[in-house]
Amino acid sequence: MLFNSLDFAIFLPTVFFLYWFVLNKNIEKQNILILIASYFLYGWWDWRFLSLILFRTLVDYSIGIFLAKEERIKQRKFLLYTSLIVNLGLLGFFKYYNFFIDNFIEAFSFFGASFNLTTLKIILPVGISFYTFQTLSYTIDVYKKNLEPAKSFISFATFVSFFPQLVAGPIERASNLLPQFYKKRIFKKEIAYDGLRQILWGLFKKIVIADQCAEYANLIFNNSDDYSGSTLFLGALFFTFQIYGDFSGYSDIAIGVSRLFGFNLMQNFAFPYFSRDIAEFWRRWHISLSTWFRDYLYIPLGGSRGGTWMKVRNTFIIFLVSGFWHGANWTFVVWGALNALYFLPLLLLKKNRQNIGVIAEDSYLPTIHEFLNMLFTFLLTVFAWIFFRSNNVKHAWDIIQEIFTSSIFNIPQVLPLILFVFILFFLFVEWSGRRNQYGIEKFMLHKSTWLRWGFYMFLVFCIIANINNEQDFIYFQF
Amino acid sequence: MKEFIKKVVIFSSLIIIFCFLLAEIKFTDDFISSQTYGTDYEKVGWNLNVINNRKEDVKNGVIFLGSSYVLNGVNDSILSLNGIKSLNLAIKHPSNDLALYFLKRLAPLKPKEIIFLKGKTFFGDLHKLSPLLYRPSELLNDGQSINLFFISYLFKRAKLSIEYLFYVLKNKKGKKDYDNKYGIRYEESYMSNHQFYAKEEIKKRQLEEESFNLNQNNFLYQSEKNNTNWLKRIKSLKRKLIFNYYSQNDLLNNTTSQENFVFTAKEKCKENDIIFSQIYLPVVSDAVSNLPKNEIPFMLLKSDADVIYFFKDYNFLNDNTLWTDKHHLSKNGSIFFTSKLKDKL
Repeated sequence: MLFNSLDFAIFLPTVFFLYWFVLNKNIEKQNILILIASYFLYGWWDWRFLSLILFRTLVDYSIGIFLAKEERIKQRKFLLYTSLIVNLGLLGFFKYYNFFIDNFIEAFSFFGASFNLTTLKIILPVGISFYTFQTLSYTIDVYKKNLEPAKSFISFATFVSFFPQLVAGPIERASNLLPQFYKKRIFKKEIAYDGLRQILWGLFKKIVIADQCAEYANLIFNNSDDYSGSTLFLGALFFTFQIYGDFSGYSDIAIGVSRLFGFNLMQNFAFPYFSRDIAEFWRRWHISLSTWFRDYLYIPLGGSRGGTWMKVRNTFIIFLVSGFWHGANWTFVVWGALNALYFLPLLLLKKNRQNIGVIAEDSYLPTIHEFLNMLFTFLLTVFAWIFFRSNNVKHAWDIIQEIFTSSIFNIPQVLPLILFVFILFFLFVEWSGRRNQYGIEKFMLHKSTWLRWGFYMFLVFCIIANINNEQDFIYFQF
Repeated sequence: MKEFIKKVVIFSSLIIIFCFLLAEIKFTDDFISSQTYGTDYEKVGWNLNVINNRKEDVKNGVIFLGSSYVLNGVNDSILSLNGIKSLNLAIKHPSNDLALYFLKRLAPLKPKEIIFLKGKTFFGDLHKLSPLLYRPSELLNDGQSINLFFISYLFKRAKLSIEYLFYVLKNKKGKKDYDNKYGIRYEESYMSNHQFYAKEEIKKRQLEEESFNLNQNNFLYQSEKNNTNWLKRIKSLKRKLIFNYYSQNDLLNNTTSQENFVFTAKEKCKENDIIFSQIYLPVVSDAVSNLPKNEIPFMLLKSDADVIYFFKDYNFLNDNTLWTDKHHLSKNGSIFFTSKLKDKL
């Protein structure tokens, strides 16, 4: 069941009604409702994989309890490794098994050896990378004694499968989300309005920007041999907006839906395309994953405390793992490596934290210097997205080669003018709201009700005008 | 909370009202044709072309309407060659709403008889092209209930209305050439022998068909009738619940509305002195299985049509070369079936 489907439009009010009107006096019952709703939503996609979630929940819940009782270091480590093996093992099997088998065979055939290993027809469970990391954060935090183990199985199971963010994040830390299941949730209309606004903006990003850009990005990338450099560059630009609209749109909807139920999720995107350097971009893009890697991988590896070699090694590890997390394809690894290369000079020159605040914080427009930095960073990300979107590394390389020919000066063969207008409008709203949590958080908030409602109505009709068949969210596959 | 709910309801109602108003814009045939041209539903444009430019072909003729079953199964050329002036105006996807739309457009042209497809199973949902052809007020007037299908339809129609406004602004009219490849259109492939006699498929199909008669049998399959096992009882209860609260629930399933379209069709025919009939198009399981032969008339007798065309025995189609797949007749199959049908018309 997708957030942009009619099924979800029925599902959400039904759960909302039961949650606030029928079960509002009992937290445990509310949690059970959310758990049932979450399992229902996940089972709607493929009920067989419910057992996978349930199994992991049981394993990590039990390990949490044992860790709380166990003081001996060796035994504690054993419990931690059990959780890591179960979680990462299942992720590895479902997501990377065929990739490794294929590459193993290919590598050995290069040296003349042949193996008769067969790949399996494995369905990738939706959102497996997201909930794997979420449960891992719980076990690691309990192991490090930064977190008390879950007080009840229901609360923990609800934390693992919380439906708004189950399949594509934000990857919540147990320390932030789990305690919210213990406390009584109080309905606050301002927060609920805010949630609805964020859902609306998320739908706009997904349906108006991402899905429309996807149409042209797919057309251009799937027929890249037929297009000039300028058109291919345009295709990369469309994909740049597609992936941002798609993923940040999902996050906005997830956060907005959570707010309707009295939960607060972390911000996942903070206007990354307005970043002035790559380090800032990575502080603003997929924040829940970046901070996860920072806290559970980069810092344990030594972070940036050691010598130059250590910094270079750790930076590469984190970016390569981040790339590989997205999928079993070398294109993602190259994308990660490219970002590491972008990031390294800043780290080595100790300039990676020079742009912490919001761009043009005290003015409406950026300075020329800021604008040029922003444009340069944006172009670097566009270039990296080519690898992310391409079918394989050779495909990406062919596209890049064509872009850097004189055909970049040709008039593009694809020019969807209405889409350009939508993108400009989108950038204008996002720029106006760059100091907030999401684009329209305070947009027109202090104008009259008529103007405000008129604006929301305009967004709704833009959404209606652009509805095609329900399109999957890209990050469901990761 | 009250204020929140109130505002949400008001805002949602405003959206629905605006959508409804927008959706009431009437589309020209040219726009409809442009939307379907070059797609799987190009036949819509072809039909409109017949209605607007080949009125004589319709007058006093026999018109077939329905889904791909009819589209593939009835060869109007054979009928016309045998002195039965006829046209196959069927469009892919089983539904009565689209057939009714064309019936209303055809009625003033005075055909002799209009023949709808009679499904052995219920038609649910709405046709994919209803948002393109129907205005909401028309659809409601023809028998559509206000349910989830209607809401979904309304948004799609509103989207198309916006596209239509741009279409008018651009003044983008173009002539579409429809050759005579229609009436009927065939997939040239045949079913393999293996597929044709696949018992599982036939069994599955029989169960599917039987499930639509379960209410007559206390929700037990024929094979379960003499079984008093408690598990069977639970299964029967489950089927009863699904039948009563899902299949018959017009909010979740559009079957009642689809039945309403048939009644409206009959009314329209009566008003215009046109014979309203229904035809049953067989599927593979009818040809190869030993289904009780009284089952087909049993289903069909529920119909409200003046005439129902069916054969008590479809064994004459027991040959894999007569079928494209388990639901559709091949070109040969269509010729064979139509040559038998002509004697009934």
